[in-house]
Parts: sequence; structure tokens; C-alpha cells
Amino acid sequence: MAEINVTLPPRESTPAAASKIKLSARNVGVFYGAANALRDVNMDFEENQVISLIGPSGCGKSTFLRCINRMNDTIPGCRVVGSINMDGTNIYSADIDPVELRARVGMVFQKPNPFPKSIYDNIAYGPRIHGMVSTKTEMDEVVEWALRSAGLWEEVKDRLLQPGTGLSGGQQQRLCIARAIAVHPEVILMDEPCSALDPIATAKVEELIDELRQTFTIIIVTHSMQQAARVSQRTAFFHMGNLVEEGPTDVIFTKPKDQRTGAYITGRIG
Amino acid sequence: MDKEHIVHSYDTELNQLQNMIAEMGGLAEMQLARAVAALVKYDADAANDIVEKDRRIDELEDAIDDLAVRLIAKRQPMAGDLRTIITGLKVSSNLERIGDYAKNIAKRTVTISSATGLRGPISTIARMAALVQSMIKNVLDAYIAHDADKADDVRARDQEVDQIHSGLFRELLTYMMEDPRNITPCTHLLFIAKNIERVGDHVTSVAEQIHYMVHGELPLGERPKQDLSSFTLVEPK
Repeated sequence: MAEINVTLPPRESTPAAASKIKLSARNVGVFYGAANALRDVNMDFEENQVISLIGPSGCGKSTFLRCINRMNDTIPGCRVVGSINMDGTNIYSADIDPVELRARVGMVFQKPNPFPKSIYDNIAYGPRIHGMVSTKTEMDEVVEWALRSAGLWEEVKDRLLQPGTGLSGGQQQRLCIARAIAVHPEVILMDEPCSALDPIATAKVEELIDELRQTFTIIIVTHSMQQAARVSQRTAFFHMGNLVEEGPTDVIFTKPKDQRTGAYITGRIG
Repeated sequence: MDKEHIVHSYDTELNQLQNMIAEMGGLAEMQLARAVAALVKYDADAANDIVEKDRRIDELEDAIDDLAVRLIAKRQPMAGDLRTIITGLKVSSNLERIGDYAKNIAKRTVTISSATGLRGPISTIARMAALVQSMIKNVLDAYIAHDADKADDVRARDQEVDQIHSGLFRELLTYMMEDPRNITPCTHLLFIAKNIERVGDHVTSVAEQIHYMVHGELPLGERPKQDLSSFTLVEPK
């Protein structure tokens, strides 16, 4: 009989080899007028990892997510304090152009929001306005690459000129992911990307997230604890504007340190 | 975790799981006590009744497995809840084995029915069983109270059981050498002693699971072991 020698799965106590820090938040706080929505967040994000932000509604997780591509700049009365360094440069320093920043830090929203344009133009829009391609052939290549990366190419290759809004919900969300990656970002922010999708479409997006991790750093806000447990390597729990606990996902979901984290993930506080 | 779940039926089901473990543990403890009492008195009727009552322990194990699987599927438990359910599954399987050992002691009691010349080793067996019973009781208290320190304390006490077992093993071999008519009852007593020693091991395993349930990790370090019976050799004089 052949000798069987199964490779044992890694124990959570084995620390993964640390990779490069992509983003680093220091003392980040957010005020909406006088209201302090987020307080003193310190957190590092490693390259090629998926990081989940979880917590009850109003805990500050989406507010924090929007700090990372300066989306909060667009909200009147919103003020961000502290610093977020990407590759060592503070994205809040005066010489950073928020529009350029948002090409480096892409975003996918809760509800799929394709442009009212063709599937092709949904993808081509970003590379075009950022002047990333010069010829039609180059653009065709970018569109195909983005759609392939988002696992959508085989489903839409014969109808690229039909409107993106005609796709199913799950396909639309993958189109939005393809649109986000078409400009070759470094970081992708996802704000509850599956909450409007059925379980099959959700599974496809989750599979996609795992593949995209090879290329990008992904930060995902989710209300589904199971999703956070499935897709992410690290998880951060926010509560009432504070970052309560951050750590390896398997530790957070099996033996969280803070009692508030335990209470939230086991369904004891809303 | 003392706060209640937002969904009350979740708490109800978790409590039900823990109550079933408590009942199962209480039964296993009682079965062992009664099996040893029947042995001391050579009471075959009581022994037969013990064999019969093991069925309830088996039923409880099935019910616990069933509830635990349903809880996992329905609630997708996390953190302390997940550990409580997984621990419930493992502890119930330990308790079921303890019930089986008690049943086996009862069966052997019926077989040997009288071994009047062997009061010495039988009273040693009773002493060993009393120790194991108190370990079962304490480990169940630790389970209900989520008290890892108490569980750790039980785990450390198993070496006393091992020591008594090693001594008894040697003693029984000597009896067999003295008189071949002792071989049959002594062999049964050897198995009975081994059964009680194994019960101690299962209690230890339960104690370790309680430590995991409370802290999220198994207790560190090898547990102290004193069972030397596997290395014991008594030469005829």
C-alpha cells in the first residue's frame, strides 16, 4: 500500500510570513460637523491580503473605508484627521490629487452601479479618461483582460456592445469589479459588495476576491460574518466609532480577545 | 459569555445542549458508582440493571450529536458558542465511553458472581472508583460553571488513579501466581481496574475540552502520567 502523508493544515498560531505594508492608518478620526464618527484608528494593511471590516451599522467601518480613497472629501462638513500612508506617502497631503488617488484605490459599492453604457464602454471609460491607452487594439486588450480577471469574459464576449444594465445583478457586480480593475489600481475597496446578490452570485464574487488578492490589496466591508470568515485573512471589528480589535480572521472568529467582539460575532449585540 | 443572544431560541438550544451533557454526565457518574457497589456486594441483579440503564446514555449521545449538528447548520456559531458546541460533541463521546466502561464492569460482576478470597483488591478497586467518581463530579461542575481552573485541577488528579492502577496490577498478578483458581476472577478484576483507569483518562479528556471551551486553546504541556502497568513484570518465585 502506498504511504499516505497528508499535509497538515497550518495552525492559526503559526504566523504567516509578513509581507509588505501597503497602507498604514495612523490616528485616523472622522467628524461629520461636530459629530465624531470615527476615533483614533491605527491599522496596517499588508499587500495581497483581504481585510474585512465588520461591525454593527453606524460603527464607523464604511466611514473608515471611504477615508482610504478620500471619498469623504465629497461630503460637505466632513473632516478627516490623522494620516493614511500608502507606500509611505500620506494620501491626505496637499500634493495628492484625489482623482489620481481613486485610480490607485478602486471602489466597488453595495448596489451594482454600471454606467448606462455598453459593457465595453463601462470598462473602457476609466482607462480612457486616465489616458492609459492610445489605440483601439490596446483598449480591446484592456477590456478583455479586465473582464477575464473578473470572471465575466466568457459570459459577455458576444454581447460587449449591449448595455451593462441588461446583465443580471451578479454579472453587473462583476462588471463593476472589472471596471474598477481596468485602471490597474493597487487597492480595491468593497462596501458590502454581495449584499444585493443571491448566494450563487455571492459565491462567484467571493471566488473572484480570492483570485484578485494575488494582484491587489482588498479591503471589504461586510455585514456577513460568514463572508468575512470565508474571504479574508485579517478582520477588524469596529464598534461605536472605535476600532475594537484587529487580527487574523481565524482567531477573531474562534477566540476573539475583546468581549465586545465576542458579543457581536455570536449575535449578542446589534 | 453571560449576555443573552438577540435570538432567544439560540440560547434555549444552547442551554438544552448543556443540560443534556449534564444529565449524561450525572448518569455516567451514577452508573460507575452503582457498578462498583454491585461488584463489592456481588449483586448480580443490580449489575444487570446497570447494563440495561446504559441505553439512556447512548440515547443522550445521539440526541446531543443531532442537536449540535442542527445548531451548526442553523446558527453558524462563532467564537465561544462554536467552542461550546464542538466541546459538547467531544464531551458527549467521552461520557458515552464512560457509560460503556461502567456497563462492562457490571457484566464482569455477573460473570465472577463470587470471589470471596479477593476482598483486598476489590476494596482497592472501590477506592480507585471513588476517586474517579469525584473527578467526574468535579469535571461536570467545571463544565457547567465554565471553570477552566477547576477542570485543570481534575486533569492533574488523574495520576493518582494511574498510581493505584499500577499497584493493583502487580497485586493481582501475585494472587494469580499463588493459586491458579484465582486466575479467572483476577483477570476480570484486571479488566475492571483497567476500565476504571480508562474512565479516568476520559475524564481528563473532558477536562481538557473544558479548558479549550473557556480559553480557545488546549492546556499547555503534557499531563502527568503515573500508569506503570504496561512495564510491570512479576516473576514467579
